[in-house]
Amino acid sequence: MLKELLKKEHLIMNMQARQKDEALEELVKVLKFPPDKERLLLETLKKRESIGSTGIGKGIAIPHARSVVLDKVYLVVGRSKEGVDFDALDGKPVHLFFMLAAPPQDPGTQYLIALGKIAALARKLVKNQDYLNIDDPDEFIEYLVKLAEEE
Amino acid sequence: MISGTLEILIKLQDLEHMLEELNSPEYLNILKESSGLSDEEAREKIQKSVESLKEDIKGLKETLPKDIVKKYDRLIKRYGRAVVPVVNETCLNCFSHIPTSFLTKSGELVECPNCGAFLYLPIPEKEKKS
Repeated sequence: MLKELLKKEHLIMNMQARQKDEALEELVKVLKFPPDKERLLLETLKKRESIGSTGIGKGIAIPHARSVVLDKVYLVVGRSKEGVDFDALDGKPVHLFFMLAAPPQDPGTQYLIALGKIAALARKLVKNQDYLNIDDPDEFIEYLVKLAEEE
Repeated sequence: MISGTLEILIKLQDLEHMLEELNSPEYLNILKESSGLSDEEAREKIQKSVESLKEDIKGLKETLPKDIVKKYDRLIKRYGRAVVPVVNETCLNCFSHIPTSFLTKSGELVECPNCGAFLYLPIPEKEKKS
């Protein structure tokens, strides 16, 4: 499932943002939505962060939300070598973002399944921070897919 | 351009979905798995978020006209949702066909002629970014 959601055009290899709101804006912009749609999704993601950071610690954050304005599930992956101050659970900077956004009508609860798979992938990623050393986008996606599929 | 009332309704509906997600057992498991929090810690974190979200929902409702809130609450009670997108000219609440004349009203506050849900209509191609 993650393989289908991981797209090169939705990957940021070197995020410019250093703060939480900037990071969310940078991630959402990748989707190239019309302005109203972009703003509403961004506000929902920011609201989600305001009630509890999705920075799960050890350099990873999984901002996520469902919104009426979306027509399908989107995954944007962003990497920041420098790190983003994201108010994470462990207070450490975030180097890897998985932003998951989905419509409310979600046949087969694809969104929650994807969220669960990303959580499992995150657990594997923290053991080995190779993701900081890969600079080729294709190789980066291949690395994530391979890791996600490993038992 | 989305009307002010419709925009608030969309935000409200998104918050309701957030609340639903936070209250789901799947979410508790995902949070524990990803963060390494204990069951008790994860439940406590979720509870705080739920309380904060309920306050936000209450605050947003106060910015809407009373008749709209009444209708919104009635729809939520009946269907579990009040604002739904229209996909392929179909209301995603009751799955009835939405007349073509409605489809040009993107951004306006429009109700489904069958179930009464507030509709989020697709944004015309010309407004989309390249």
